[in-house]
Amino acid sequence: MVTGEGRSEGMSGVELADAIARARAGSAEAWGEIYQRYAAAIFRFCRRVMPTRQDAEDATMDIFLKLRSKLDQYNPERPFQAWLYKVAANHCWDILRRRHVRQDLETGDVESLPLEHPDPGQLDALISAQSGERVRQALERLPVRARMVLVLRYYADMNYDEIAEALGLRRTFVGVVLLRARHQLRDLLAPVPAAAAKIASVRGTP
Amino acid sequence: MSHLDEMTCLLYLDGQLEAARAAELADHLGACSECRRLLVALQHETLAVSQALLAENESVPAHLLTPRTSPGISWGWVLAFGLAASGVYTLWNVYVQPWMQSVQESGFGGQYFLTVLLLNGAFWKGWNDMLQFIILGSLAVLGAGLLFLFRRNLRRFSSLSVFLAVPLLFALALPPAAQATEFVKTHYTYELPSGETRRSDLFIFANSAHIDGTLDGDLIFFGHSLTVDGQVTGDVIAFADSVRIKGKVGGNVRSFNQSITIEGQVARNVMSFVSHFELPSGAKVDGSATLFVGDMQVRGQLGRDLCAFFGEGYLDGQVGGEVRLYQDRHTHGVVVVGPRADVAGTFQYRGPKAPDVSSKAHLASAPQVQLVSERPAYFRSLSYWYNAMIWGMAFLVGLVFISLAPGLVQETSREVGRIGAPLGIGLVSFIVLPIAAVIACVTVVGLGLGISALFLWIFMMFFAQVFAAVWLGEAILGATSGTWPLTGRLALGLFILRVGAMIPFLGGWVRFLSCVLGMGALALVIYRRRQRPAAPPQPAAAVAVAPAA
Repeated sequence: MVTGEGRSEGMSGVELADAIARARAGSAEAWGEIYQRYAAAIFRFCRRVMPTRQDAEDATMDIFLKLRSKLDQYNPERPFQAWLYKVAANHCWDILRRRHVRQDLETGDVESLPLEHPDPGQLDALISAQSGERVRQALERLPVRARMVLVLRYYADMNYDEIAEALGLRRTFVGVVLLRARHQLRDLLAPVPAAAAKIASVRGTP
Repeated sequence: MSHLDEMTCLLYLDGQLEAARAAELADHLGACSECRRLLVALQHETLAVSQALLAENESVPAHLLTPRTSPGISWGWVLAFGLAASGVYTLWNVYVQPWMQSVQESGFGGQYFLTVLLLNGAFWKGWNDMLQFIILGSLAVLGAGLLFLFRRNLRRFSSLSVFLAVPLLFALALPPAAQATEFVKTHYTYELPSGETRRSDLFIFANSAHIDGTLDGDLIFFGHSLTVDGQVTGDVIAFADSVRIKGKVGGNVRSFNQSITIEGQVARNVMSFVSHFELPSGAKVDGSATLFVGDMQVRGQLGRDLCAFFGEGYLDGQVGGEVRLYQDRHTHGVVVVGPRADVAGTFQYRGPKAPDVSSKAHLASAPQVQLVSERPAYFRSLSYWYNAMIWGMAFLVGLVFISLAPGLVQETSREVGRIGAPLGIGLVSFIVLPIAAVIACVTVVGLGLGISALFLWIFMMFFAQVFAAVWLGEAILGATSGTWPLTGRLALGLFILRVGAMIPFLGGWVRFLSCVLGMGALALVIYRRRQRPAAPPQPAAAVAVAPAA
């Protein structure tokens, strides 16, 4: 599993704990330090999740305003970045949910588990033919929930519990939503739909 | 055991399986190369997705890299807003209010001149419609401002519907077409021959017009010269170079001209904004005359009051009411009250020097003369207070611009730095825009458009210096992109421009150049933005359409 870089940008544990403590006590300088460490990571997170750059900029600013006011609620025994991403994810998901009151957010389809064994050779061939840019473009065209779950898992490095909480899913469905998102991504990456159909030949019916 | 399904593999990779199940899978994987290959393929996929997500392919906006601090009130801001507010107050107190007061004193019966002019339709009925248009226009601006403020809450359909509603409102607000009105448009001369009678309001757009017959209605004329030899029973409203009335007008005469001569008879009042006004002896106006003129010659007969704001004047006729003369403070023109002058009411004069009253003139009471000096010292362009006030107003305008369109301000101020092109374009728009507006005024559809364009032009001439100021500020403090740094540069640049404007002789050029440069740069940027192609379209879907299997 690749570790999200978003998590590697933090300060050393002691520095961070100190900065958080001072920021909680009202030090604007300490808050500035925290902000500068994490602003880029949170912006990139928002950029991956939100549809436009302007949305991402707005969301970043709003998230930091929220973070500052919620700093008292942070439990220092838990990882700070995980908390940051949790707040960010909740904020973005709220906005997206308000905008799309549509089917692609509903969880009905997760009941049906895809229990196929796809052809590993074909899957590998499909993946190795892609450039990073093409994968990014395909990610941008995914439905919001699929994109969100991939970003939470592979950018923010959230575990299944955290994802379940952020997206309001039952924990047992997180894997299904993740796998579905991968399938949708493959569909977008495949040169012809038939190839994708072979990789995941049957959808939802065991 | 058959091959593992994809779901199980993913859960295994993510460490989501119970320990017993995971051990079982590990055993299977040791024996089954097919399942190991699937596991590896899934790991590759994970890697590809992670790398795509984590790539720093886009820069982070500079304004996001510094935390937003809660805006504390700094003394600089208090000072700036204080100056702006007191600037507006001074402008009102020193200039607008006394003017309105003197207009009020001069026979507008306790109502404000502007109210009379605009609300009561004293000048033209069409004002009422135009006023409605202006009110709706400001509502639209307000709406657009609110839309901008709440843009995050308004998405797609809601904002779209608002944008659609605004033009709809405008369409509803457009003044309905005038009724029982005839329009005549010609490049040459319009003639209403002697002996002929027309019964309607008549709009004439022509080089010249001769009314020799009878017009039973109002006459509204746009063109070069108008001569009324016959009779008009309603009002005569003229936007013309020269107007000559030899016949009879049953209503009022209102005109914006170069010159107007009334040799005949006007049954009601005369109001003129002209360079030259003449009422020769033998002519008669039964009502009063209100004049905003360069020079006036009143030798005929006025039934009621004469009220004039003027540069130079001769009064040598009969006035049935009061005479109120307000002479321009800066003029060196003379005021002569001749031997045949006969004023039944009071005679008041306010201006720079006492009028030359003939000893044979017949005035009902001794003339009341009030001498006024030049503008108050603190309103002269060299005064610090005046400059601080102008600075404050320009700063306020600039602040609004920076907060509404920081990108535009930045781009335009950099455009100013190219000097040549913006200077050329600025000079052209400086001359062409007002001409175009005046031309627009001469077509009836364009009247509202033309007048608003003229106001816009005056306003633009003032705010264009904002761009020049930001450019100056950036030249000194270095380029920037944030809102507050830009504001600081604006403040500095405006300060330098103000200081420059105080230099004798050169000051005027500083003001002129900063306005022209700013306006030219703005025109160039707007032009370029319109030319710039839209953002490249999203790449076509990667999935090609395959023929049905």
